[in-house]
Amino acid sequence: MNIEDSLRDALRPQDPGAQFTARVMSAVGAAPRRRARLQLPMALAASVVATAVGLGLLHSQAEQRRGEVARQQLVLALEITSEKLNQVQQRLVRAGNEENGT
Amino acid sequence: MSLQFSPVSGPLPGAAAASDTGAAALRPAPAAGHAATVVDLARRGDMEAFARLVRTHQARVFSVALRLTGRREDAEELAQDAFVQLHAALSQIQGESHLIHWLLRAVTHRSIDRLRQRERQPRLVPLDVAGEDIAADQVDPLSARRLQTMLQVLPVPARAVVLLRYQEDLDPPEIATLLDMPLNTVKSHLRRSLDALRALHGGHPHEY
Repeated sequence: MNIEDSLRDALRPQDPGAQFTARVMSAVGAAPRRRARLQLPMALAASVVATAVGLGLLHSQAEQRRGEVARQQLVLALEITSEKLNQVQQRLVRAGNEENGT
Repeated sequence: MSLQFSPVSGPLPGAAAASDTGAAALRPAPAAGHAATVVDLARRGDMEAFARLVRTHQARVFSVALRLTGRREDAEELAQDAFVQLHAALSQIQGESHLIHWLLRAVTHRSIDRLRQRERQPRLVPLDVAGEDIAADQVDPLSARRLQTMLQVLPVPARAVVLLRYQEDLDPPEIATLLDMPLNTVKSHLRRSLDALRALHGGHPHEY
């Protein structure tokens, strides 16, 4: 037998035994599952979305409050203006009456 | 022992031209159609199908690890790791040939890495290769034992090349792809290893 045939004969695969298969399957079963691995980024994504929505709601509420304040300020300004206008009008009327002797 | 690629002077005489295809695909195992179905099932999460794949290929994977590292304990661990990694990578496996290539590549590279780690530490235990089981139908058990032991004398890259050539029957282009080694380097390792083994073992001269 030449060296190559001798090598092929000597190097025939050797089976490690049935226990090896069982150990592999046990190790595979103990390895982190892909679903579990996916759950973590999914949870992170969900929390990011929830935070974004929450922040959006807060922003909206803050804007509403600012709007309300602005409205109140405008109303107050208008009231002040209106009152002042009334006062000026009353003075003008009084002044007119005094000129006319009424 | 570092993996140094040595320059080569040319193709080995008598090398089959058909093997110089550079193709990465390996020769399919017997009953490839049936095995491909098992791969599909395993890819879909069928654990029994995966167990069948393990039983089908554990001998080759374990033997490569054993004959590279020389230690049964390391070989079992490395072979087991290769299959655990395979299970995680099943979605990438495209069929029987690809699966075999993937396993051989994984266990060979891991075994070589293990040897590199071991080289940094003093050797405390003897090699287990002498305790390798000899098959009942081995043609020449004494010769087989001697060759298995002599294999450990070869440098690691050459040892890997010889194993893949004569245990797995891969041709040089397939070995080059699997080991990420230049084709001429593979052929050089084969030529020199055969010369060395022939000189140590005796036997009839044979032109490769």
